[in-house]
Amino acid sequence: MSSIAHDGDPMDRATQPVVGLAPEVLELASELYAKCGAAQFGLTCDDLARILGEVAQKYLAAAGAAQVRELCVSLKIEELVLARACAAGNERAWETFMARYREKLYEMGLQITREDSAGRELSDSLYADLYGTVSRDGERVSKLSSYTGRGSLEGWLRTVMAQEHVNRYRRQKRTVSLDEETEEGAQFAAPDPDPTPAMDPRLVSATDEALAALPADERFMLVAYYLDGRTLADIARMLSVHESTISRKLDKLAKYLRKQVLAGLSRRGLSRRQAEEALQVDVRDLSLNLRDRLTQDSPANAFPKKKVEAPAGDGSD
Amino acid sequence: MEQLPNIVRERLKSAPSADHPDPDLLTAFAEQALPDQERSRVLLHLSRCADCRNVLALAVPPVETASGPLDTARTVWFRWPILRWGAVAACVVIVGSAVLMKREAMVTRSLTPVAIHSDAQSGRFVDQRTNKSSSSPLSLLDSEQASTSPAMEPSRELAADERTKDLKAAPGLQERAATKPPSNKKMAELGGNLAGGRGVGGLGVGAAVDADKFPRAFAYVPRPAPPAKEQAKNSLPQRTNPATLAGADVPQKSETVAVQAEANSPELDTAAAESPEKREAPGKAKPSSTTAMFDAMKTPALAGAADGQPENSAKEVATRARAERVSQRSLLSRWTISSDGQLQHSVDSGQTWQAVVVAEKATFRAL
Repeated sequence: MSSIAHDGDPMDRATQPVVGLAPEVLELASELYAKCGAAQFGLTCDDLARILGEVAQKYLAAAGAAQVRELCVSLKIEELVLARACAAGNERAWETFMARYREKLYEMGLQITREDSAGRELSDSLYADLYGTVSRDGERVSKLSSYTGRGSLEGWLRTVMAQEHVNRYRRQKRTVSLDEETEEGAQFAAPDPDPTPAMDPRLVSATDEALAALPADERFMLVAYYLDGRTLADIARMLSVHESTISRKLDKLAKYLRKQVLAGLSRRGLSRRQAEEALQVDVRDLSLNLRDRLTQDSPANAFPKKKVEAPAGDGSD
Repeated sequence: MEQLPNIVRERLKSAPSADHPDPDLLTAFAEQALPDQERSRVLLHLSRCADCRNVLALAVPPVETASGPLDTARTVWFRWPILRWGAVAACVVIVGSAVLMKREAMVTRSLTPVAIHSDAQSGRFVDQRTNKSSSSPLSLLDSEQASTSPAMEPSRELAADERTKDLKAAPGLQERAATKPPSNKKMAELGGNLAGGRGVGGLGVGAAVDADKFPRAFAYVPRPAPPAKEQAKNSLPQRTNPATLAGADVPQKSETVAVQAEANSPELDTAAAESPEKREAPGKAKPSSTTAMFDAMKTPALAGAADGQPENSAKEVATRARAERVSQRSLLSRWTISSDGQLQHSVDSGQTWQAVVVAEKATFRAL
């Protein structure tokens, strides 16, 4: 079974048979076939129907005909056809793909890595994955075959490249050079002999209750700003809203959460004052070094006879 | 920004779920192409998974290439560039309107008519509005127009000086002039100045005569003096007629003469500038329609100077004649052709007309 389709040759792929597809998918494929330009890349109407069936099966496993039709209509059909034709090895499709996205891939790599050499390396590795250097069961596997057309092909390429960059970073972050760390002045923290005191379960439950009531976008804003340390502009870009909207919402959210946690603590039997103290004070900050407290009045030995070596940490947080 | 309680930060660090969204979903999320339900699911995962948030942050295109819609609550009309240029346009309109209004006010003010009353007995002119009297109407006009056309003063003086220089050189005019008239060329120049309204407070003159033929072609023949009872109705003061009208009786009453002063019309200057052939050229005379007016307006004192007195007094006469001309130049001169083809000239805005004998070969040019 040939997996490479030349110009004018129909694709010959081991996909699900056309007869197993939903009738609305077949009908939609016949409607969209003329508009999507699949014929120039060697795709038949059946091929298009098969592709649409795959996408519907992936996202709407047990959905009605209306939902399937709505999903298929929202797809980027032209780009989906181009990507699938490239995955099948159609030369004309590759020429079109290279003409449109070759320079853009290098630009994306530069924007993501913020370094020219790293950006080119990232783009070239993605090219190899897109072309399909890996073969499975004698068949070339192209990353473009996983494109489903939910978003634009350019956005999909950018996301794939970003994902690859994050994966590389995580792999490299686990392995650090001890010599480099020492030269940079990093000190390996000694293990804390005292265990972290447990937090008040009432406080934990009141906080979880308040956070669970938040909508997804508000929780996203909180974690992006307070945990990830992202700027208001970055968060606004990710959510496609204005920066001032993010600023306003975050301010309201912080006040709202405080109020909700205090109300939850009050419902759990704490007084107003106790609730405020519990909220303001971090239990970890309250941990005291009793040894230091007890030996405070005794003069310390200038040259202690016994030497204690602190065990080195693993250098990870 | 309000600080978040530490416990809240801690509890936000929840364990992420295993089902990470594929690149298609993340792309569709970034491009706002997901339905609401699916978008909420992706958002919920993103709020718990730091890795997916990092991927999304890198996958979202920069601001200059982002095509997603921003908050639509803000209208695009209130962008700073639009407001800035709108303010500039408004300022230009306001300033332009103010300039145009001021210009109209200045033009209107300069066209205000004045009424000058002449007393034939005393030989003085009186402004009816201000009750000021003067030996010449021009000085009364000058006092009215001093504030509106100060720029004309130097040019009037220059024109007067030019005339003074050439008062001795116009033989053709000496026969009837009360003083030594200027040369033909200079008279043409002066007439041209008057015709063009330059330097004389903006008097308009209606016609020009070829200066080469000036002494022969242009002979000012005043009308004979009207009967006595008609003189009372005649609004032209006899004082304006020179001693050549010796037979005329001077009206006993003082008569009001309406003298209209016009602002120095830029069109006249422009017309003179745009037509080089009409400009002053050596050897060619300028329109001299007011020459006869000067001749006709000689005072008796000036007329006496033309009778052949000694040269010393001739200078005095010339000075007086100059002053007289300056005083009389503010009167409007009119030209017309009668029904029988006779060229007529008026020095009192058309109230009285005097016939003008014109040679056969004379040419006229309209200004």
